[in-house]
Amino acid sequence: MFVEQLINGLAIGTIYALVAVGYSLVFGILRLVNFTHSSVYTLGAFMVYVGVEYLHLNIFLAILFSLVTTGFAGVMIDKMGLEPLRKKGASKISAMITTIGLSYIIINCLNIAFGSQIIRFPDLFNYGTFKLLGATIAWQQVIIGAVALILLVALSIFINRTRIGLAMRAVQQEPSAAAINGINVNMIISLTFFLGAASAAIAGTLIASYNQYLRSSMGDIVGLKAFAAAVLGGIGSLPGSVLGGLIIGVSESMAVYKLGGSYIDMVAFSLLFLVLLIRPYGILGRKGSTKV
Amino acid sequence: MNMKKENKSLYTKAVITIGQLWENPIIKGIILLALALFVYFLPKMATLYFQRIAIMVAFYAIGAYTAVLLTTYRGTNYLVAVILGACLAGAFGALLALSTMRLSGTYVTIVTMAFFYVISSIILNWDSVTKGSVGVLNIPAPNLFGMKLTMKNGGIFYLIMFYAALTILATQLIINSKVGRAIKAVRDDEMAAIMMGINNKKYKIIAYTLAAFFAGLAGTLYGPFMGYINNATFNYDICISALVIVILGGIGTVKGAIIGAIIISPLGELLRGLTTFMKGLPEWMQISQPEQWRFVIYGMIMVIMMRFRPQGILGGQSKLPYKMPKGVERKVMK
Amino acid sequence: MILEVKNINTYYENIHALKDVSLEVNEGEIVALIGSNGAGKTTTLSTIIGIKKPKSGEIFFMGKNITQTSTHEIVKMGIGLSPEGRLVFPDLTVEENLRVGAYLRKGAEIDKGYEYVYSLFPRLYERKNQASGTLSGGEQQMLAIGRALMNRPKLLMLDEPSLGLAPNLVIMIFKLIKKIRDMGVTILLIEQNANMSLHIADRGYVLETGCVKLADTAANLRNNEAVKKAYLGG
Ligand SMILES: Nc1ncnc2c1ncn2[C@@H]1O[C@H](COP(=O)(O)OP(=O)(O)OP(=O)(O)O)[C@@H](O)[C@H]1O
Ligand SMILES: [Mg+2]
Repeated sequence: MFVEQLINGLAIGTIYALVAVGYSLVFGILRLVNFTHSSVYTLGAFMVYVGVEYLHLNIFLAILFSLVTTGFAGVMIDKMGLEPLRKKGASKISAMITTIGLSYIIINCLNIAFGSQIIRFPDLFNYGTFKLLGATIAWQQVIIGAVALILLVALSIFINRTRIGLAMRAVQQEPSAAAINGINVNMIISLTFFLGAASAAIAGTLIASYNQYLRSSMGDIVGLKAFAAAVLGGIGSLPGSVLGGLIIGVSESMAVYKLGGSYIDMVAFSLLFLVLLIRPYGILGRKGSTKV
Repeated sequence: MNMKKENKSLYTKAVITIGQLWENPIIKGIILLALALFVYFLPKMATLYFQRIAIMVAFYAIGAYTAVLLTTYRGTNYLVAVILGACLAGAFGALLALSTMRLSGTYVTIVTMAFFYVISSIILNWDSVTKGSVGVLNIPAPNLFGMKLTMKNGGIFYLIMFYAALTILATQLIINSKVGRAIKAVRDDEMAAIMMGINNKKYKIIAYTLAAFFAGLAGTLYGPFMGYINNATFNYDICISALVIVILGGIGTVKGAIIGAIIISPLGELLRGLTTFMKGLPEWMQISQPEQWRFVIYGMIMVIMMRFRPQGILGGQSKLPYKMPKGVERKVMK
Repeated sequence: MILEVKNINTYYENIHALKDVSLEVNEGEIVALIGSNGAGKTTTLSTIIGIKKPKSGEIFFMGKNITQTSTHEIVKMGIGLSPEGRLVFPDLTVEENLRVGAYLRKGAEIDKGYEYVYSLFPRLYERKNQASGTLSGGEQQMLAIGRALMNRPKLLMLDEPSLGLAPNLVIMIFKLIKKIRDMGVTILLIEQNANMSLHIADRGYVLETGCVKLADTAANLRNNEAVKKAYLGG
C-alpha cells in the first residue's frame, strides 16, 4: 500500500506542480493572483471533450485543439481583461477582482453549456499494471506523472535557456527596465498567459483522464491546492512550485494511507498554514520577490 | 485618521450586504453588528474588503456549526453550546492571526482565502459530523433555564435583542479599555504603535481573537433562527454575491451598498421570470439555467465595473443627492 | 539632426510635468539637460523613449515621427536609455543583463557587444557571472550603461549616471561618456553635476518646472550668471 500511495502521490504532485507553475508565472510577472487559472484548467479538459465528442477528432488532435484554444483563451483573458487595466494604471485589487469575475464567467458558461453534472471522459493511458517492490502500480499513474514531469522540464528549459525565457525573467525582475531593452512587454505577458493556460489545460486533461470524468467544478479544489503549492514553495519561483506540488501531492496520499480518504482536502491547507508560520514567503521564496 | 471613517462605513456596509444575502430582516442587524465588530478590530493590513467578508463568513460558520451540532446531536445546554461556539471561533481567530503575522499584502489575502476554503471544505467533507451538503435539520429552539425561545412566542426576538445589547456593551467596554486603545493604535498606524512601545503582535492576536469570537457568537444565532443549516449557507457564492454588491455600489459608501443590494437582489427573480416567459419560445432561445446566468452576470458586473467604474456607481460623488448615471442599469442587466 | 522634440506636453494624471518642451540633438553631439529636482528631466527622457506618451507635441528620431511608437520599437530604431536608479535585473548575472541589453541583436553581434562593453568596463568582465543585485552601486551603474550600449544605439540617453558614486568614479564615468561619443554614439545626458556635464557637453538645455528656460552652447551656459547661481554653486 505504501509504495502504491507514494507513486500515486508523486503523480498527483507533479500535476499540482504543473498547475502551480501557471500561478507562479503570472504572479512573478504581474504580481497578481490569477483567479482565472483554475477555470482555465477546467476549460482545458472540456476542450478536449469538445474535440472528441463534437468535432470527432482523435484524442491527440483533440488535446492539440485544447492546447491552442485554451492557450488562446488565456491570452484573451490578459488582452481583454487585464491589459486595459494596466494601460489605465488601475490598482492591483481591480485586476484581482477582474480575474475573479472572469473565472466566474468561464465556469458558469461551462455550466450552462454542459451542465454541472459528471461527464464521462476517456481513460487515455489504460495500459494495465505492473509490479514494483511487491506493489501493484498502474501504468496510468506513471504516465501521468511522466507527462507532467516532461512538461515541467521543458518549461524550465524554455525559461532558463532561451532568449524569450530570458526576456520573461527580465520582465519579472524589473518590468520598467525590460521595455527599454527592446522587449515587447505586453507580448511577453501574453506569452506567459499562454504558457500558463496551456499547461493548465494539459493538467486538467490528465486529471480528467485519471478520474475518467470531468465536471465544471473540477478546478475549484485542484486550483486551490495548486495555489497552496505555489505559495508553499514560494510563489514566483519555478522550482518552488514544483517542490510545493510534490510536497502536497505526497502528503495527501500519505494522509490517505494513514488516516483514510475523508481528510484529504485539508492536508494542503493545513500544510500551508504550518509552512507560512515558519517561512512566511514559502520554502524557496524570498521577501524581495513578493513586493505587492 | 481616515481609517476610523473607513471602518465605520465598512461596519455599516457589512450590516447591509450580508443582511441582504441572508434575506432576513430581523436577524441581519444583530448578526452583522457582531461581524462589523470584527471589521473594527481587524488590523489595517487586512484592508481588502473581499477577504474580510470571507473570513467573517468563515468564523461565523464556525460559531454556527459548533452551536448547532452540540445542541442538536449532543443535547448540550444552549448557553454552553453558544459559549463553546464563540470560543472555538476565537481560537481559530488566534490561529489565523498567528499564521498571517509575518505576512503582508497579497500573502494575507492568500492565507485568508485558504482559511475560508479549509473551513468550507471541512463543513462539506467531514460529513459524519457536519452532515455536509444534507445539512442539519430540526435544530431545537434555544432553551434558557427551562424556557423555550421560539419564533412563535417571540423568544428568539428577545434573544437577538439581548445579543445586540451585549455585543454593543462589550464593544464599548473593550474599545475604551487599555487593550482597545492599543488595538486601535496598531490598527491605525502600526509603525507608530511599535515606536511607542506597543507590542503589535500581541494586540494583533487579541484583535483577531476578539473579532472571531464575536463573529462566532453571532453565528450561533443563525441555526436556531432558521432551523436549518448546510454547507451552502456559508459558501463561496455568498462571498461573491457580497463582493458584487459592494463593487457595484462603490466601496466606502453606505448608500452605495444599498444601491448595490437594490440592483442585485431582484436579479435572481428577474431571470427566473424571464425563464418562465421564454418557455413559449423555440428551444434555442430559452434561458434554461437562471442561476447560472445570474453568476455569469455577477462576473460581468465585476469585470465591467473594474474596467470603467472601479469606484462603484456612486463612488466619488457620494455627497451629491443620489442620481443613477445613465445606462448603468442597462449595462448591469445585459 | 538625430532627435527633434517639438512642443511636447506630458502629464501624470493632473500634474503637468512637461510644458511645451522642445529640444534638438545633432549627430555626434553630447547634449546636457540640467535642472533641479522635479524639473522634468527624467520625464523628458521617458517621453522620448515612449514609456510616457505626451498629450500633445511631436518627437522625431532620424526624421521619423516616433511620438506614438511603442518603447520596444523605439529601442529597435536606435535609442538607448540608462535609466534613473539603474534598474539592473537583480537575479540575472552581469552577462545575462548584457544579454538582455542585446535582446534585439543576433549571433556574432552579441559577442561583439560583449567585447565592446567589457573593453569599456573591465570590471564588469571580472564579475560577469555574479548576480547583478550583489554588485556595488558603481558597478551597477556601469552595468546599466553597458546594457544600454549592447544594442549599439545611435542615441544614448543617460539619466544621472554619476549619482551616488565616489569622486574618482564620477571622473571615470565622464571620461567614458566622452569615449563613447568618440566612438560615434550621440549622447543626451542628464546630470545633477551640472558643472562637469557642461564641461564635456557641446550644448545644454536648462529645464525649470517643466519648461525649457535656456538653450545654448555649453560654454555660454557655464558663463551665464543665472545658471552659475542656480546650478554651479555661485
Ligand atoms: N510616476 C509619477 N506620478 C506622478 N508624478 C510624477 C511621476 N513621476 C514624476 N512625477 C512628477 O513630475 C515632475 C517631474 O519629475 P521628473 O522625475 O521628471 O523630475 P527630474 O527632473 O528627473 O527630477 P530629479 O532630478 O529629482 O530626478 C515632478 O513634479 C514629479 O513629482
Ligand atoms: Mg530624474
